[in-house]
Amino acid sequence: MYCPQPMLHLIQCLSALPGIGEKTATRLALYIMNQTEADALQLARSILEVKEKVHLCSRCFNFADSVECAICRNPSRDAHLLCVVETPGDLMAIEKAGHYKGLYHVLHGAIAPLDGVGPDQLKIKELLQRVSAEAMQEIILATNPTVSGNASALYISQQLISAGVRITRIAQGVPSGGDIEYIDEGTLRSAFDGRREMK
Amino acid sequence: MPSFKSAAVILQVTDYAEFDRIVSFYTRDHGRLRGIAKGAKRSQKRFGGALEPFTHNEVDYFEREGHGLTRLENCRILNTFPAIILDIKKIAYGHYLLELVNTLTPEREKHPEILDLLLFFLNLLSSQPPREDILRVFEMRLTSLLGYQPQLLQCVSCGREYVPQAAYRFSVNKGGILCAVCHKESDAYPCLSHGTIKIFQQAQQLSLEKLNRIHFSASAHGEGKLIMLQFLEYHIGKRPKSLEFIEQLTKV
Repeated sequence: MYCPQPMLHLIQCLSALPGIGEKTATRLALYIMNQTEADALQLARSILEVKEKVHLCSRCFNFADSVECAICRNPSRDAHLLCVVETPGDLMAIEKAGHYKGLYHVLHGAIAPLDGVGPDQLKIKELLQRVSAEAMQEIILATNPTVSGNASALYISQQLISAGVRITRIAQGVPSGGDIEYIDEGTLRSAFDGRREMK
Repeated sequence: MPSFKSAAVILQVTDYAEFDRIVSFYTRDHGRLRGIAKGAKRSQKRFGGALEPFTHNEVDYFEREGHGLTRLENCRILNTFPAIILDIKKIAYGHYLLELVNTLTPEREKHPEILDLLLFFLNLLSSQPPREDILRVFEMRLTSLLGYQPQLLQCVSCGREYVPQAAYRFSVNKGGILCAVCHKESDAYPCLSHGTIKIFQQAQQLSLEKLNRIHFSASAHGEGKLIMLQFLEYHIGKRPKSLEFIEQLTKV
């Protein structure tokens, strides 16, 4: 394919992004070419700004643009509730649902022994320090319902057993709008184990 | 493109691109395979929890000419071993079993006895309190099935038959016991007591359903673990990754 060198370089950079192949990258590069210089500059600046200004919150390890993230700084959040998630993406999903009003702690992964990811590679030590330093009443383990997520939740609950806080795990079961006929047996088992009385 | 259906255990899963997963699985009909599960991260309907490690499935897959990876089409869960995934020690021990099968078995070599062995040990792990010594029995049986069973009935150097009264050591690179004449008290070879040799001989000889009866004493387990880990590291070429997690849990 004939392409001027700078454009080729842009296509290569864009196709390195997740979910973007060479075709999509070419389409995006052509779109950027057709944009005004100001728009292109804004895009370039926003990428640089993210790298320069966004880092991890010193308290919860979510993305932040100051020492602490907006959630940790917010005095209206319930500081006695702490929700432990695997990634900032999980935190964003919970925030989008808008139901939870407590604080978070992001582990940045889950225990995966075959990939060499153990507790030391995650923000578990920081979580334990945080629970002993802050007046938490409940720790909600919202790691994914996978073997890795379960391993992380089990390990954390074992470590926090003497901390004197309530430790809970998010419910697992039939999703809203789901069809029982198509749900796997593990999920159905969890749904039955976690059934609640009708009020 | 030929398609197949076979019983299989999921060994390892890694995310690939935005929505796909690369799965390593041990099948009854084609041994260990690697396959791509397209859209597995996005579509819960298609695979659900079937691609989680430990899951025993009936897997539909097809071979793609010129591709090293098979393509996974469907999975029907036969057993998820829920008792394993609710216990941190069982998860750690179970991962070690999966890692040994994943690293020691050659790809696309049919060996249904290995699937039976893995399923037997996953059931054992699932049905009993977690015991680290069953890992030693598994190591011994797996290496035996793969053709490099440690020689415990005669000296691996001079060929003299094992005598319970003599002092033996273990040679990792020769793969068996050394008699006193051959090891010459050299520290290069770890000691192996009669008790440990006897237990390992049982682990090699007993039928699968009787393996549950084998129990190591603390000292026999310490000795056995030392030599089996050195022996496995010699054959794999590296230390199994899941061992670190087991050691971390032991410290806790």
